[in-house]
Amino acid sequence: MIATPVDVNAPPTGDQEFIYITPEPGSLILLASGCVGIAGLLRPKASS
Amino acid sequence: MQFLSFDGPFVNGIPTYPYTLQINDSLPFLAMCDDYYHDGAPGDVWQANLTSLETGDLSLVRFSSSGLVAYQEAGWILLQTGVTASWQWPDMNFAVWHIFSPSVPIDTLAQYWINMAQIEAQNGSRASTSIW
Repeated sequence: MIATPVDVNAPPTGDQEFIYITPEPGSLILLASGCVGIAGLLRPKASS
Repeated sequence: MQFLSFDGPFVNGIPTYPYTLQINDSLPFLAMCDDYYHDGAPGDVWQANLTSLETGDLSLVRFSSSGLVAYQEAGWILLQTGVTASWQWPDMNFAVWHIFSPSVPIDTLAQYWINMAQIEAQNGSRASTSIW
């Protein structure tokens, strides 16, 4: 993604333009499933 | 858009990748500056247009005259930071600055990244790994 100040023609010392990476949906799903898995590991086991 | 912090090393007084930004109340994320001749600092808040590189629409970006290939090269270099040792990140940032502003001085490693990005752009490849 490209984040460009609304005022594209701002003089020097104005805001910068940046490039950045947005996570792909598949990565977010993997992250979420990983968190669920870790939460399951940390959950106290029920005593029988 | 909010500028949260400089998180990369300073080279000759110039902060390099990564910077941490935030959009509204989003999770903070890392970003690379592609604009050598404009400054920003933590605490800055501004309005920004967001452009997906995949659209190919450069109507709202600052360096539209540089063309889509320049942004693709810069995007490829940014992607490579994920598989490249962090000591190379300043040179990768200078490579991106040089792509959009050729007057920005660069060293041989930054030139290497520009060369690689140009090769990738010619090949149309989106996946690669660093050999450094």
